[in-house]
Amino acid sequence: MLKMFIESFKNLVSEPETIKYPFSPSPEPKGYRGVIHYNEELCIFCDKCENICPPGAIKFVVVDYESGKKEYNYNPYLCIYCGACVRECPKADDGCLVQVEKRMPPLGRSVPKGKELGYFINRIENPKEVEIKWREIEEMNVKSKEEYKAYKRAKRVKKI
Amino acid sequence: MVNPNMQIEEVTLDNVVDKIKEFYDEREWNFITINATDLGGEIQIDWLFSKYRAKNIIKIFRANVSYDAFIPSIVPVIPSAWLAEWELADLFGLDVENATTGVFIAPDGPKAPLRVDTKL
Amino acid sequence: MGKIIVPFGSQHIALPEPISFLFETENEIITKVEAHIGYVHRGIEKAAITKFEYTQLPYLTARVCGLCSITHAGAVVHGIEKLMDIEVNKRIDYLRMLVVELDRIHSHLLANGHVAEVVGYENLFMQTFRAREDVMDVLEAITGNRVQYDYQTIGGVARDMDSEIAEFAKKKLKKLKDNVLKVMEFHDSDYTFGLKTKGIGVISKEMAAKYNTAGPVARASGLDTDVRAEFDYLPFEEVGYKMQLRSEGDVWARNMVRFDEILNSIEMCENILNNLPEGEYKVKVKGRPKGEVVVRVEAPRGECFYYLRGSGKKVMDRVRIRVPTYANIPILKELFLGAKYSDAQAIVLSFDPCMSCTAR
Repeated sequence: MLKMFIESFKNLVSEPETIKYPFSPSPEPKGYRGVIHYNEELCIFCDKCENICPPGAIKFVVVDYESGKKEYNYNPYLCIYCGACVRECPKADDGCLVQVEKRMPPLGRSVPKGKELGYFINRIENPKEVEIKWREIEEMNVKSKEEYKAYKRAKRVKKI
Repeated sequence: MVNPNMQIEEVTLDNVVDKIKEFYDEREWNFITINATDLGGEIQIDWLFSKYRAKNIIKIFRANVSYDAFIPSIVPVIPSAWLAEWELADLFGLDVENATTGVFIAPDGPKAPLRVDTKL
Repeated sequence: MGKIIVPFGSQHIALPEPISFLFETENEIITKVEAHIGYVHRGIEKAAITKFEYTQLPYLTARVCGLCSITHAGAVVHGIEKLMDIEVNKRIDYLRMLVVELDRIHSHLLANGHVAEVVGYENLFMQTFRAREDVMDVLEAITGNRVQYDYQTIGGVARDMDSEIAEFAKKKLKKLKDNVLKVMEFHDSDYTFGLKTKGIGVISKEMAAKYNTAGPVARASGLDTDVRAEFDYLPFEEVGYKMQLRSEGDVWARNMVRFDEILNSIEMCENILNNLPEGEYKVKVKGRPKGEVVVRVEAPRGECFYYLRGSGKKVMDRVRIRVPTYANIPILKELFLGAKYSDAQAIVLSFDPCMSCTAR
């Protein structure tokens, strides 16, 4: 008991172990697993990241059936930052999908913007809409893929 | 592929309690759990044991039963088995001897969620 | 005096997670117990056979538990690798072993701190948690996150470790060892702590065997069971694993067994860091899981059991998870009978219960 008393007394005069967050910054440590950044120019649209993503935070939507153009949608507030998509990406070494050492700011009054975050988050103005809009994207993802498949089949039939 | 050290013994619901009673020695064997697997149409029930102070030895008593079968309780032989038996009743909707339901799932929750044909 | 029924939980100051006991008491002595454990059933086993493919399973099962996420992911990865006939190299084995042991250290420190807290020794709780911070830093440097590590993947680990991180880890482990020895000394010799923990909730060796207890609870009673010695999944013996046993079987012995294991784990981690084999950190993966396999791994709280069954499809047929707390609940219920109500909190917390694991 005496030992604990001495130890407690020492603690009174020693440096504190904690930091004064939020009054002092709490930076991300080196090697931190943060947000996924995307580069559309390097993407080959293989859908591997979409298929592996455990929470389903990456969804591709086919926007133009003629050219087969797909749009990359990423929900950083659904992402669990596991990095499985980056490990799966065949173009990850070139920088198509990169996990950066940066946290996503909590969803407050504004929505973070940036080309590297994909189409979804850049089209949203009101932070309260994130959840509803994401549900729409999930439906679009299934619907557009089915329609694209049907479109291609119809085209093939026409050719013959 | 089957784990080479799994010793599987087929049993029926009529003789499983006697078989386990004959086999089980609490100083030698550790009762792991009772596991059920829905094979579609029937349920495979495994009573799993592992040996103390040995490497990789697992003994399994296996019985294939229908959905409405009556599962006898092994609590008289292994007093800690009640939890696993109650789980069978809750998650697979089986009729287990002396089981209390509603322990793992709330009373208004889904019935027999782990059956293959239960869609949630 | 007549009988009084005292509810303990589901919300209680001593409980980190929802479990409810209904104690029937006679003058402080508990005479009957009723337990409810299903408050946090999340249907993970159902999700694993319907919504998630086998490649996503390690990330799903890691979320069964916050503290032993490494163990759950490791068990699934090991099982799937067996079903797909994947052999991993020595370096992967060693890296996996390193995170598993670091995980054990921080889980044990948390458990011991909680016991100190519920017996009313807030100061010791804070000291223990301060020591724990170092091992969290090491895990964060290795895996990139503090809680959800997502380190083990099918056919390897998520990222390699360079010499800089190894040096950082060695430095931190040295500091950790000093701190743990200091905190262990307090737990060992403190008079007031001993009053609340020595001779409380005693499990004899026969009782431990009869109720099939697992993990530190069994080893504190002298029952020599440890999956690290009973099941081949990682080469623990190569890096200096020794089984830690105590014979008293009370709350205090459970704490001390955990401290013994922490010291053993620190030694193992240092051995791993000093003799890390060369090689790739991931191997090629091909095929689909087919067949059935049982996996036993030693989670910090005891034996964690997995049954996996696949039929060559993307989604598995059955994933059964049996966690260590599940094995320890029957004896916990027995142990309350005849105990004082004022000791109930220390008894529960000395088991290091994890209810979200148990209900899954």
